[in-house]
Amino acid sequence: MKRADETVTTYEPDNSLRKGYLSVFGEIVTELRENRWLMYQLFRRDFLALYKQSLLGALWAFIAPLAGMALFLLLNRSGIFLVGEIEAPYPLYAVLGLSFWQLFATGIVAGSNSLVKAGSMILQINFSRKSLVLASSGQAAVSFLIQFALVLALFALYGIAPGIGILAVPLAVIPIMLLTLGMGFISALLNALVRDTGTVLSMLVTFLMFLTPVLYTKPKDGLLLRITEYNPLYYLVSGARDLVLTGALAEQEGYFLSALFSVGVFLAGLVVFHLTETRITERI
Amino acid sequence: MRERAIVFEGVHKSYPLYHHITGGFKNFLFNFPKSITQFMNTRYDVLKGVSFEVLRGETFGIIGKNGAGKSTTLGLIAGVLKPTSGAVAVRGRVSPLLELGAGFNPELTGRENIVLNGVLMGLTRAEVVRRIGEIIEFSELGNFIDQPIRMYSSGMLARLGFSVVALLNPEILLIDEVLAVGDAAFQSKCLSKMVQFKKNGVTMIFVSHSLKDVEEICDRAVWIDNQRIRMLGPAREVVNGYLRAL
Repeated sequence: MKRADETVTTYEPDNSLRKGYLSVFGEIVTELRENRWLMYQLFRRDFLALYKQSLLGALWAFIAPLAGMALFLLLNRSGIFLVGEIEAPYPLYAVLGLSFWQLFATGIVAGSNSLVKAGSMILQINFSRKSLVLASSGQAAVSFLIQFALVLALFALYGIAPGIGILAVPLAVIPIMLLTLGMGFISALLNALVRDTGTVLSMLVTFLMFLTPVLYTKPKDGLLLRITEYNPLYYLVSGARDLVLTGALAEQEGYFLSALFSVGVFLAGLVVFHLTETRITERI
Repeated sequence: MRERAIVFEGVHKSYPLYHHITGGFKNFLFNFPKSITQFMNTRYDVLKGVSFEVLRGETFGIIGKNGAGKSTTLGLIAGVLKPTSGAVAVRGRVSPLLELGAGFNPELTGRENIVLNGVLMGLTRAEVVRRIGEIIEFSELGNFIDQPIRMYSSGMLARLGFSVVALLNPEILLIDEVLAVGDAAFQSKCLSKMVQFKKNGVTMIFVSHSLKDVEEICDRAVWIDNQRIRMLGPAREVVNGYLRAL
């Protein structure tokens, strides 16, 4: 067993920034490397606890996108809401889009609750709080894998072969994950400060889903088109969907700018979290 | 001369005060700069200029009234809190003996919780798995170890908590009022384990309202009163001083 007693740890008032941003990144990388087992164990805890005492268990991951898709199909068929012209069968288009969307939606809600949920643990044990946020997004990744299995089943059902771009899905998921984690870090801090954040965020995620063309195509004109053009989530979700359905990115510039934006949000979230996490203990 | 395990140097700790927005939200917005400064900067002091040292292998008690700053002192040793000014130096791995339930997930089994807690305390999964047999045996939980811990009684949870910490080679052990739970037989087992720790040079910080325990278990103690150290010295003298002041 590693003996830590040769080293003396000195706790002083926060001075991370005085050491410079580069050393902050060094500290973060070391912390994440040293805590990989903790992240795995926290992920395992959340995963095991999620489906215990649940009648339908992992089936819930199928039910949510199927219900969303069925609702929009119904609205479309009755002429109340038009989803636009889509080449692929609508159920496939919708479930595929929702699987990427849910990665963001589930991840950010889980991330925002991760600190508050850990409560007394944070007050008593000195461990990496970043691991809590990072591990919480693991649940979203598992749900995504389950939902993607549903997507593959739908491809088989319709007798359609996915585009070669399906092989790039692991890459297309990265910017969505980075955006989710970056926003997750910030919302976890905000939720610890002001508990309304959790409530606002769940509302905001639903609102954003209707605002983002996930279950319908990009609008042709109007205010919604202008909003969509500045919505990075649209480019990330529809870009990933395009890759699977057609094998190519339809809006490359928007996609790459959004991916860059995700990297920025992730780094900003990580640094802000690192610099403020010890103060948050006082607020839990 | 024995090595110093913990050093507090002029430690000052204050917490932010919680505000409710008084005078309405409109008032808050119209006086926004003032409101936000007040919101961010009003703090209350918990510790003021506290300095003491704990030597390696010493059993050190912290006593004082409710809200005196005992748990804050433990939080500063654990590194969970950072001082507002001054410095806290700690030599060795700190293992907090957890309050019931902290760090435990009710839906997971005792066995799964042991692994999670071990990893939370900074060990690798392999290190915890290697010692899990001993931990389970020490806890005397038998077949319950594979049941979700929401089925445990408070005594069983205390056993599990103590067993995890006791068998993971603590160097500095923080004990915050947790030994009162559990039956007499397990309590005496814990006490004999603590005597063994003492022989092995484990530093123990003991926070308790049970002055008898502090007097019996601790070598030295500190009495914190009104955010400052009121008395520091041999446990018996500090406890007597505290009793006289009551």
